Amino acid sequence: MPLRRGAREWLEATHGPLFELHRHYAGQLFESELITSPDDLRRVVITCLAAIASLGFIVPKLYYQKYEFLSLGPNADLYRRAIYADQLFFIVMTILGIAALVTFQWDSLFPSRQDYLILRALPLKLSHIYFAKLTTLCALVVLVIVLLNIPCAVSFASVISGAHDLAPSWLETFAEFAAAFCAGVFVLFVLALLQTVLMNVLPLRWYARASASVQSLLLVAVLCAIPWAVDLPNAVHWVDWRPAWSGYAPPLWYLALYEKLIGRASHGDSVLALRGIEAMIAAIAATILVSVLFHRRYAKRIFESEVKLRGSRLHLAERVADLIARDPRESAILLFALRSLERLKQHRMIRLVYAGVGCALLIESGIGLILSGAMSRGPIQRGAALDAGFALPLLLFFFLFTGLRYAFRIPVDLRANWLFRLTAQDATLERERALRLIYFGFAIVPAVVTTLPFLFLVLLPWKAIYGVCFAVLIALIIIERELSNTDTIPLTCSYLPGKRNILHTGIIYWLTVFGLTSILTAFEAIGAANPVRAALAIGVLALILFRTQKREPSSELPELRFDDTPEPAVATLGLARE
Amino acid sequence: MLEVRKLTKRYSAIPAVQDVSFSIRPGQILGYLGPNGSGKSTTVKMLTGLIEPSDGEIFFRGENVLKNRLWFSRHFGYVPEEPYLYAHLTGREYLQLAGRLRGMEKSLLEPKIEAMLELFGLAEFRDTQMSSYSKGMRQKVLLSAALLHDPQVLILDEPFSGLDVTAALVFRSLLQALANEGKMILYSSHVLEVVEKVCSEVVILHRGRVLAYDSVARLRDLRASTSLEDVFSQLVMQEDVGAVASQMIAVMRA
Repeated sequence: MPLRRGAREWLEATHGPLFELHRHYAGQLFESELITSPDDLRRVVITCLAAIASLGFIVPKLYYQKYEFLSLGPNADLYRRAIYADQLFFIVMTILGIAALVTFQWDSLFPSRQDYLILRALPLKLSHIYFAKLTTLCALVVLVIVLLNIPCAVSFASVISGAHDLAPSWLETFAEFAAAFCAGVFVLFVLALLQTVLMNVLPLRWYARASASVQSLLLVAVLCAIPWAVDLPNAVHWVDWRPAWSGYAPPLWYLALYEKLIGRASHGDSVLALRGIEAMIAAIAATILVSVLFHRRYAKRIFESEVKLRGSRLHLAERVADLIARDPRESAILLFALRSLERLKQHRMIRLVYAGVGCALLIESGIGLILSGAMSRGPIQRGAALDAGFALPLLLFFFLFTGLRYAFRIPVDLRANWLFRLTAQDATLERERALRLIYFGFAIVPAVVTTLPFLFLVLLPWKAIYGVCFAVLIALIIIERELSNTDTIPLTCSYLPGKRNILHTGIIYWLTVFGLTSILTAFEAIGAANPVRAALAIGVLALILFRTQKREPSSELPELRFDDTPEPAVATLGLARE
Repeated sequence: MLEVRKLTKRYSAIPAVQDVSFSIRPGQILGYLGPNGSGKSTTVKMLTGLIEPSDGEIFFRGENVLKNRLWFSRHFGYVPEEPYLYAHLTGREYLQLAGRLRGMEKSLLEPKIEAMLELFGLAEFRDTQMSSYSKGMRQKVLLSAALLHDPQVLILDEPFSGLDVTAALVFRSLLQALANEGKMILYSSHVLEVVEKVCSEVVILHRGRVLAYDSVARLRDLRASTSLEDVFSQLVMQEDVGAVASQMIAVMRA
């Protein structure tokens, strides 16, 4: 107890500018209204870190039976390959996890303009401000790597110790941890280096757009890689395969490092292991070197930068809005939403995550459908493969739509909402029309354009057309339901998703999406038996859409809402708190 | 005429503004004064509809504003106390948003925006996001947004905050010109010199209540003071300013 009190007192005391700067940045990393209110910071930090650490303790549950079964057999080589495949899985998941974390913090790797504006007035060096931010983030990521991998390494080493084990448990634990740790650190510093180079090499007017594009690509790549990575424990047949390109595949470098550390590496693997270590050191050294060389230039650039937008981009959005919007208020809401979605990092990230997951599922399902052999006798006619084909546009729409819907619920700046409150409380119809256009343009059109060629590839032409029409009608019905259930202008409502249980916002909603997609595609497949049934199904949906659009004529339209409704005490019963 | 009758706002039974009454005639600039926390901004927010009054009434041209908020909102322009605006938009885009939300057609709106940006010296920054604007530049955008639709009533809460000397002078002349055009202007401010120069009448508020409501000249006569600042000091300030300053120095040196 005195030790605990002493530690607390030490933490609460002032410890010089550098320590205080790190403390400030560490607090900033968790400040997001997306996940929490500021008062809950400590709880969220502890929950997140505990959740990461507890992942390792699932390992025995997942692997115990597999290795018990393998250890009973005489095949020690199969046992070894199974361990290698699982080790490759841990390495790849660490790489993907750290890449996702760094991508989420992409814009916070280095001090912002606001950081410099606030901190430059204090007696701090430019290098202090710059390196404190970078080292705080790196320290956090390294902590995540350690928390993620130590329990995994300990648990996995104990599970695989047996008749055919490869090394003593302590060595196994060390080798597993070291390989995954080095892989994580390598990815962290490669991405930090990439952002540093982009920041310092590109002209400022290009930087924001290029950095956002790289971030988008990284996120989509990480999300697309997850389904493939999950399948890695089954890679026992090719885990020893070292093609010519393995020299350029970082996960294989760190798998080779693991083999080297347990003393089972071939000469080729030793070379790869060395390359992994060299690459990690080079990434760290290059990041530090570039940062030392350019941090002053960076501060100057960011401190003096103005976010000046290019005229052509500005006027294109305006021209489109003028062309499709019916009146000034509709075009105002449309332009405000489009510009906010494009320019605000948080909103862009939410849309990216949802679109990335949608694309990952699409790619995975598409490739799976082709590789499954369902098309060996020509276009898919029936069965689970047909359901999977029909599900593609619907799934992609759901994810794009949900991403937009979620982003719209996060206010841009509550204090600036007075403008809408004073001028647009009665803009109910204009809001509906603007939102309908956005959902159509940013959820339905991309879902159809992306999946239509694939549907034509795997289905008969009439079935592909039917599948797309079905998906579009379902999408339009969902959009109409959404429009009639909301009464806020996008990005202005004071409801913050951080107040809501993450289980409700995330997992349950996504499970519902998958459930709904399965039911709808089963219904769709019934209609696909012949063209007459297909036409009937389309007719029914068109009727439902017509009825959904035809609302009760009311003498007075309801005013829009700008305040959040009280949080329900019991969500399922919708009972409001007193 | 804009008339406020016994306007009251209570938060959990604690009054922030109590029984405030005043009226503004066409062509009049009414100064609304008071120390921090006296209820100036609360009154302004009740007038604009951003918060609902607990009691009292507001009339504009004889119509009860509280029963017809939307109709009234088309007739006033508002500059809030703090320059809260959507900083990810450019100055031009913000004015476009404000104008379009008020239903202004593009053909009418765009020339006005260009002219306003030019007059306020913001033309060069028209395509720069307002996140990099200074406070004064943001204030100019808000003033432009309040004037775009040629409102009958102007509700200004500390409108000179952050403005440079030239812009403040221009704006002061503009206020006079707008009053000559028959606009009704409520001017809430701490800057007593400006209020004294531009306002015909003033309301002095303290702890949510009206302490004085009269013409500037008459208040000066009544209080035998040479300036509005003296009047204000006599009515509102209860602290020994010199003693507070001395105490601050002592705290600083501790």
